[in-house]
Amino acid sequence: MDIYLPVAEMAVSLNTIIGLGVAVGILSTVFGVGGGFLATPFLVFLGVPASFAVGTQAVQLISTSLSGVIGHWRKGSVDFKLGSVMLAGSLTGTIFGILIFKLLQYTGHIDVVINALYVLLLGTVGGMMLYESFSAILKKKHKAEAARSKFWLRATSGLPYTVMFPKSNLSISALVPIILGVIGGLMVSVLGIGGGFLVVPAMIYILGMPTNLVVGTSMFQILITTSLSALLHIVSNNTVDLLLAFILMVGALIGNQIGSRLSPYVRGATARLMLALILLGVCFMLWENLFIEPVEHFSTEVLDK
Amino acid sequence: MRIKVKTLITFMAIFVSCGIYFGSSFAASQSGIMIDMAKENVDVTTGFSGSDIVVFGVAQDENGKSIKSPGIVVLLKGPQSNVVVRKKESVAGMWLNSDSIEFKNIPHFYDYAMSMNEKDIASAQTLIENGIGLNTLTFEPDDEDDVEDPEQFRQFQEALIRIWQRHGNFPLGGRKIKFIGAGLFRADFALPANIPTGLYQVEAFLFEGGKLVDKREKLLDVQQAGMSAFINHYAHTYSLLYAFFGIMMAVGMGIFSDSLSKKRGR
Repeated sequence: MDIYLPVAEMAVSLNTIIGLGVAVGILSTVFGVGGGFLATPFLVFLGVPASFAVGTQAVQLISTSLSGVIGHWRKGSVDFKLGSVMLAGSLTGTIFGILIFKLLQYTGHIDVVINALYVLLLGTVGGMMLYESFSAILKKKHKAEAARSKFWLRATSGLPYTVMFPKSNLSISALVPIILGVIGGLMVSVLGIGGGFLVVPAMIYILGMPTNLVVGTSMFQILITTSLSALLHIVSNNTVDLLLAFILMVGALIGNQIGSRLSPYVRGATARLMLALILLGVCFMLWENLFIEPVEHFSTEVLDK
Repeated sequence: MRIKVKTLITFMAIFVSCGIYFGSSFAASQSGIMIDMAKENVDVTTGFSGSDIVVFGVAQDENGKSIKSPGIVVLLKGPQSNVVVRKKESVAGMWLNSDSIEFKNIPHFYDYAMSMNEKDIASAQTLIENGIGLNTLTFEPDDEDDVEDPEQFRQFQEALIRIWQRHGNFPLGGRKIKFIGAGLFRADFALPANIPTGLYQVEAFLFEGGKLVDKREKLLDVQQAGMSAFINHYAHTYSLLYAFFGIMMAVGMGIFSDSLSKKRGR
């Protein structure tokens, strides 16, 4: 059955959209990632304009990150002070991201840029995760983690504006979390992903945060950022279809239920290996889009009257 | 003196156009064509997946009798807007959008049905004069410089036609008018799901001996309806409210999702 999206003004298959939502829900429950990296490219693949895919994802991301934050907050694993400092960066990044998005939309390069950035991000992160999980499975307990943190500790120690973060037991320059925030904000507004899969490792390795606080803090930061991103996408571009967002969220809800039954069986390094393979799979799909000669060299776009 | 000439020309223009107008209505009392549609509006609701448009009509001679094998053309034309056509080119192994041409006032939908072969109805020239056929669409670039390379311009124009034919917005040709009996005919069109809302024009032409003898026009209103229209209206008119509602909906879903997982004791 097809459903007509009132704001995107196009028809899509209802079953496919629900299926996509379910997949995203399973991913977020089992692997603790937002799943935007799967939803946004697939929506584009289904013919939804990139602008609508990214804008709508921003809304769906609110519900995912909110339920995550509540859970972590209950366990006391959110560093609100550090999260707020990151927010200073990510809110700025979001506003810049929306401007960049509008500019690329105007020049007609938005689809290709989104595609290329996804290939780059998913390829890098997926590759790193694949390597890491393989080594972990093979029980080669290397000391790379500690060494890397020390490198970043030295690299960031000279920076000004040192701030104490008692919850994380850290004393670092505020510039580092702010810069991380800017990157996170850009990813939310341009790519429609929370960017947890990039920001979380960075918070561990670069900031040296305790691992148990990282996910909750990153989700808190994403929640506020994506709310602003959704607001700006609606007010400045009108590229959010709430019916599409609603269907995706219902699907994700179902996916969460399935995921929570699956997750006891998928743990640790095996889970990371599976996630790495999924990331690389999506990366490959997008890579084809970009590098294989298309059958139709031309594309059309109807401009608003 | 100059003004006087101008006034005179205006008067003559009005006079001549009145003549044409009355002339054409007199023609209707001779051979004539009448059309009507099964529905005069198309509701685009959340279940919309395209729509069939049926145009009925009769063609009669001066005595009110049905014409044996009339030359009829029925045309369906959608609202117009500018369309950008982009070309992908390989840059360092990546396929990127390079050149683009913006075409002015392209109808989002254009299709027509005929009662007999094109050449049996009227000469190509006559058909073009009446706006019948894909080659009567004018492909004007927004930027005049784009025509400088006619070969490239033609390439972009052909691409637009090819892609829109594939999407069902432009005709693949050969749509036939069916005769039901007693001079009654019907023309079937299929609007794809991707069409924009707005006023569509339905035009019916009657040709005799290669000459246009009568023409009728009707409007088809394609509008969003029901919940679909409601959401679209709010998204564009009260976007701040729409954003607020969207965020609240997501927050509600997030809390609901959390309460479900809490119940399971996770």
